[in-house]
Amino acid sequence: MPHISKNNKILSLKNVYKTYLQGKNHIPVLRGITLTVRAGEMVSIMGSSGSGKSTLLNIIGLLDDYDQGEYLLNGTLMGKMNESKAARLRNRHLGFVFQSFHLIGFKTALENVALPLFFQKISRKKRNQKAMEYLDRLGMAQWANHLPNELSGGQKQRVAIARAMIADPSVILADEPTGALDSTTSLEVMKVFKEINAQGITLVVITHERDIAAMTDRIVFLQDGVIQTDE
Amino acid sequence: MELLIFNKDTWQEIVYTIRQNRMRSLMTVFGVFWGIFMLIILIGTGKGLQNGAYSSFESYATNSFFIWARNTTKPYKGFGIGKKFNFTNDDTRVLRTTVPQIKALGPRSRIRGETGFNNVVYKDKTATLTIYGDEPEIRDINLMEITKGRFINRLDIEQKRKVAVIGLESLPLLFTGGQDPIGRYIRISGVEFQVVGVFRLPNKNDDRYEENSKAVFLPLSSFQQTFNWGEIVGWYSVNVKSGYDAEQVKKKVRQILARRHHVAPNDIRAFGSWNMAAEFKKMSDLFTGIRFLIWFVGIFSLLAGIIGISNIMLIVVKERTGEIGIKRALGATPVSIMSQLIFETLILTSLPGYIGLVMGVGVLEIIDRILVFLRTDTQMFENPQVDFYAALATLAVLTLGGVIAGIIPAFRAVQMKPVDALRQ
Ligand SMILES: Nc1ncnc2c1ncn2[C@@H]1O[C@H](COP(=O)(O)OP(=O)(O)O)[C@@H](O)[C@H]1O
Ligand SMILES: [Mg+2]
Repeated sequence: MPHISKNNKILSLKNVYKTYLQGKNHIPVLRGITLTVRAGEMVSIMGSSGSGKSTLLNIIGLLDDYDQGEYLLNGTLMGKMNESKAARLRNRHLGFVFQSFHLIGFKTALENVALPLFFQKISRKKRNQKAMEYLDRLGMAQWANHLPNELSGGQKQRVAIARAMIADPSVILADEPTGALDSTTSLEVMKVFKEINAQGITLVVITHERDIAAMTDRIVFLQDGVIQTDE
Repeated sequence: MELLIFNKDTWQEIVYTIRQNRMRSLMTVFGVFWGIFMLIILIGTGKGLQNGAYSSFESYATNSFFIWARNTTKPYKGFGIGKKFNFTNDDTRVLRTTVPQIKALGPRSRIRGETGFNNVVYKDKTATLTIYGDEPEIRDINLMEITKGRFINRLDIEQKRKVAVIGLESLPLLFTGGQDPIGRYIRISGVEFQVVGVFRLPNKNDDRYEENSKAVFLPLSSFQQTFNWGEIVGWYSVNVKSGYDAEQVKKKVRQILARRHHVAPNDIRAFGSWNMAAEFKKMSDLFTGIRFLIWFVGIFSLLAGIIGISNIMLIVVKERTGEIGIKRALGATPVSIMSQLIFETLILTSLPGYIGLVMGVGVLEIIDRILVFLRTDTQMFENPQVDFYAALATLAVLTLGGVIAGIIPAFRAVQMKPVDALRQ
């Protein structure tokens, strides 16, 4: 992917539709989403539970497919593609942070952070070195050899953020990253995100907390699968 | 790329898999171990029994039969039943010239040593030994080793030489320590014979080893003269050319002999016979059957073990759906997820299988050592072993099984969309 300059449309969705099939019922979740995110932006997505926030983020993150419309990631159309190609794109260009951390329980913090580089077939030594560097950046160096269950919620999320950053993605997608954290820790995590954003990485954060959303450049409000406001 | 086998993550996941389902995995892994272990033990035991059984045939060329004269059981050409008859040197000549399927014909006569008989004398020493009258052809049927001198030859027969070949085991009975028997004269029933050779029987498992290893061989012609047997031959040992059925040749020989001795053509019981080839075939068929059974049972118990492993892996994949989802979100391709799982399955099958193989071979080796140590003269069991190819075949089955066992769980693992996997 070519160098991403500011004001480039890094994410571009046009009229995206997504319907889930549950039994015989079609549940329309996204009903014509049109959204553009420029490189370097920090956007939050808000909306009530079930409004389709996660679905939207999963489509952006190439974890799910969409039924209709167009989605361009840095100018390239993301249509139907095989899983191997999607995996490669996720690995190189996207970072994920989840509400429930999604760390692998039997791997240490360091090994968790290094995982994306493992899938790039980078040698153990190099990837551990880089993982250590990122853990250090997030103030987690001394926890490198701990297992996730030995860490607090905030620490786990820091490890997850380090993991999301390690492969130098252009976009980091976070689905309620502070949802499982207390307010102080939440603010710390958001501060980390702001720092990351300051380095030029585009951020899309789902949240249902006003004060968290207020820390971003732009708030997209979703309701019943359509964008209500975009401010 | 780092090879899967040298990759710490591979082993980490295998250990984790086992830990997560400790009891279940250990039982399954043990199942594979036990399957292979038992297969190896069964193969080895089968082979041991086979070796034991075959070894009693080792003293003879297997494609051979023996035939001897009994009394007639049917009246024929004016003779009543119960007529006695004997084979003669003329029969020998006729059989040798008219039955081309015969490879070697050994006319034999015997006087068995009976206790207290003391029929063989050297100086002040005496022994009771079985005396055979033989021709050189017998060596093509009864396998023996000449450890010194020579065996009876054609000239001995033609010139009715008074020569003898004696058993290595009988030397201590007649000669004091270390005396070379060759050239010495022993007296048999009052007649002097010069010792020209010493023989040894290769197979201690032969039923008759005790008696035959101490026997004395004389030229048949000299035997007949010494013991006043005239032209009489005790029985025939016949080696059939390969490619011919010993039973058919036996029938033909019996017909010729019946005609020559005025025995009713259908008077089968007038002849005694023993078909070595048929007995050998019966036994080798039996062992083929046993071997088939062993592999059949073995493969199925192995299969059960492999299916168990496959099941464990299915459970593992199910329990680790979320983790697989995470990896896929982070960029693991379906191929890498699948190959990792198949490799894990392969390790879980082949490692315990390999240990089972090594331990099975080890246990067989120990049994063999014990047998050798005890020097059991049992004919039942000898040298249990698993040949290289059987071991190789077992490993191949195991490896193939491991890969196959991993395929279904591997497919199951990447069947879901990453988003659905993550939701678990
Ligand atoms: N795999 C699925 N199958 C069926 N329905 C789904 C599935 N995923 C999400 N949904 C439904 O889609 C709607 C939107 O879900 P989601 O995007 O998770 O909402 P949000 O994250 O805003 O709470 C919900 O009603 C949810 O039940
Ligand atoms: Mg959600």
